[in-house]
Amino acid sequence: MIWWIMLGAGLANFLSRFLMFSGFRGTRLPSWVEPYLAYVPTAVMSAIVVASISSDWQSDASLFAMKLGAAILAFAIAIRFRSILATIIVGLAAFQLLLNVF
Amino acid sequence: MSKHSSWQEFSLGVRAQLPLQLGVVPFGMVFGVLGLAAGLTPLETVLMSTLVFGGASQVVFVQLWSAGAPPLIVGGSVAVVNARHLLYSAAMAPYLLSRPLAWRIVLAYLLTDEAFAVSSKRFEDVGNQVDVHYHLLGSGLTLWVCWQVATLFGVYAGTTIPESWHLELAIPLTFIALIAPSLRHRPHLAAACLSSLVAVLGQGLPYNSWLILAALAGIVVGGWVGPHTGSGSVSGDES
Repeated sequence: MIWWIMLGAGLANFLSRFLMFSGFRGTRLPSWVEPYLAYVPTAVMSAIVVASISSDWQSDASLFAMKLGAAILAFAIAIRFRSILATIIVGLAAFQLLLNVF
Repeated sequence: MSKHSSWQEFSLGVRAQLPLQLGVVPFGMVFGVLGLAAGLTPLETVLMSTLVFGGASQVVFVQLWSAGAPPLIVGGSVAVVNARHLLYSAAMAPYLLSRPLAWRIVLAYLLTDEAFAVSSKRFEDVGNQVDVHYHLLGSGLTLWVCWQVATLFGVYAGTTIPESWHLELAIPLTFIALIAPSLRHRPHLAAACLSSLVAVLGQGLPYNSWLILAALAGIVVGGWVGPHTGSGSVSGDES
C-alpha cells in the first residue's frame, strides 16, 4: 500500500514541477491564483506544527508544556538566525533538557 | 567551445549550490531518522527520498502516514505542500521551453526550493544563453546527491537513536524553521493564525480533514489580507 501512495506522491510532485515546462496549451495559471499559492506552505505547515505540538494536550499536559516551550524557543531562533539547522538543534536540545530536568 | 561553456555552467551550478548543503544534509538525516520513527522500513525511507524527492512533502507524508491518514489525504497533502513548485517552473519556463523534452523532464524532477533560488538568479543574470540549463542541472544534481546520501546516513543513525529522545519533535521544529521568517509579513501571519485555529478546532473531524480545511482557510485569508495591505513586496521576498 505505502508503495502506491509513494508513487502517487512522487508523481504529483513531479507534475507540479513539470507542468509549466510541458509547453501544453493552457498551462499558464490564471493570474488571480498566484497570490493565493504564496500562502500554501505557511498555511499547511503551521497547521501541522500546531496540531502535532498540541496532540499531547489532554493525555500528558507536562509533555505538551515541554514541547510548547521548545517550539517557542525554536521559533525565536528561526526568526533571529533563519537557519533550519540551528532551529532544529536548539529546539531538540531544549526539549531534551526539559525532559531530563522535569 | 559549446562543451566548454556547458561544463562551465554545470560547475557554476554545483559551486553555487554547495553552501546550501549545510542546511540540506542535516535535514535529510533528520528525515531518515523520522522515517524509521514513523514506522517505515529503511528501504521505504531511502526510496522515498528518490521517488518523492522533496523535504517538506516527505515530512508531511511520513507524519500523516504514521498518524494513519487515508491515502488520498496523504497524496493530496503532499500535492498541496508542493503547489509552490508550479510557480517555480512557471518562472523558469521561458528559459527552458526550447530545450528537448528529456532535458525538461530531468530538470523538472531536480527542481527544488534551493535549486530554484540559485539557478533562477543565474537565468536572470545571463539571459537565454545556450547552455544555461546546465546550471540548473548542476545545482539540482548537487542537492539530489546530498539528499540521497543524507537520508542513508539518517537511516543508519536512526537505529542507534533511543526513542526517549522524542525526535518526532524535529518535524514541527523543521516546519517552524521554514515558515517563521515569512510570518513577519502580515498576510502570512494571518494565514498561519487561522489555519492553526482550524487545525486545533478540527481535530475531531473524520479522515484527518482538519489539515485540508485548515490549509484552505489559511490560504484564503492570506490571499484576502495580502492585496489589502498594499505591500507589493510580500511575494517578492519569498524566494
